[in-house]
Amino acid sequence: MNMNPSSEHFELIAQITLGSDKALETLYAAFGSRVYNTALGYLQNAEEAEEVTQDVFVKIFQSAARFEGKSSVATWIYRIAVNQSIDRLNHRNRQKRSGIMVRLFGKESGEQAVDLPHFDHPGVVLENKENARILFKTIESLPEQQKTVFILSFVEDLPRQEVADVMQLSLKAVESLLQRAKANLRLKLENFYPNRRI
Amino acid sequence: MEKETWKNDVMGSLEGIQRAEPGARVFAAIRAKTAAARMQVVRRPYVALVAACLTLLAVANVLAMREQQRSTISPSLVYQIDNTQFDLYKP
Repeated sequence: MNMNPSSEHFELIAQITLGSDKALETLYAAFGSRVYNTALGYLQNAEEAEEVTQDVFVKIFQSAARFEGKSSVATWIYRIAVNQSIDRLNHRNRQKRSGIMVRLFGKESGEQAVDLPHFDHPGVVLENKENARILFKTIESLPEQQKTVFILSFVEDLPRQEVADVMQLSLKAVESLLQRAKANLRLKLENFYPNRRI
Repeated sequence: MEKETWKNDVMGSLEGIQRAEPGARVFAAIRAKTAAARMQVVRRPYVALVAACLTLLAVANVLAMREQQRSTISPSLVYQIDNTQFDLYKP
């Protein structure tokens, strides 16, 4: 008997609850790249995105029993991926701030500030690489919700309704956030325009 | 005008983007972490069992000591009993 993908995913979650490694592997085959690509959109660093991907699947393994099935499995997994990515970003920003404090007060020890180099997403079309690099740099400075809506819509290419489900917002709210994100990005791009001319 | 065209190009630069794939070793790392998490879950009842046994042992010891204290007859009391109960020559 053929199952539709959604009921197959629910079945996988049920098996993971019972401790099935095979089911976790199948779920990873279905969602691993989606989770990684989402995390990469936020973190813009392959190593950190892989760590977040690991954390997301460990979390799925640990909390499968608590999944109530109120949303689709895909929505639930995206939600975990978004939350873990934001947690990692906040952790990185705390490190950055403590690094600035260390430099300000001239301490020798302490964590170093994390300054990311330019990021090239491996899936971007070759002729768009340079522009995409600037766009990712600008995405970094967006407020959290605008960043989420932009990454899910344009890096992960999710339909607006699914973005709304992941963020637990109305479709209207998502569309409004997306408009604001785009307007903000255009505004922030002003700062990069002169550099391009040099 | 040129700037607006440039902005449009940048904003549209994610068109046709392909999903990035994680490295091959990621699932092996996930499996190792879930195995470790499972071990912790298995170990937890044993830790609870050992803790319960130790608590039970401590409570039993305290109760036994109390009981021992209560049932011990002080020497002065023994002496008193000897004097009052076994004086056969008293009228």
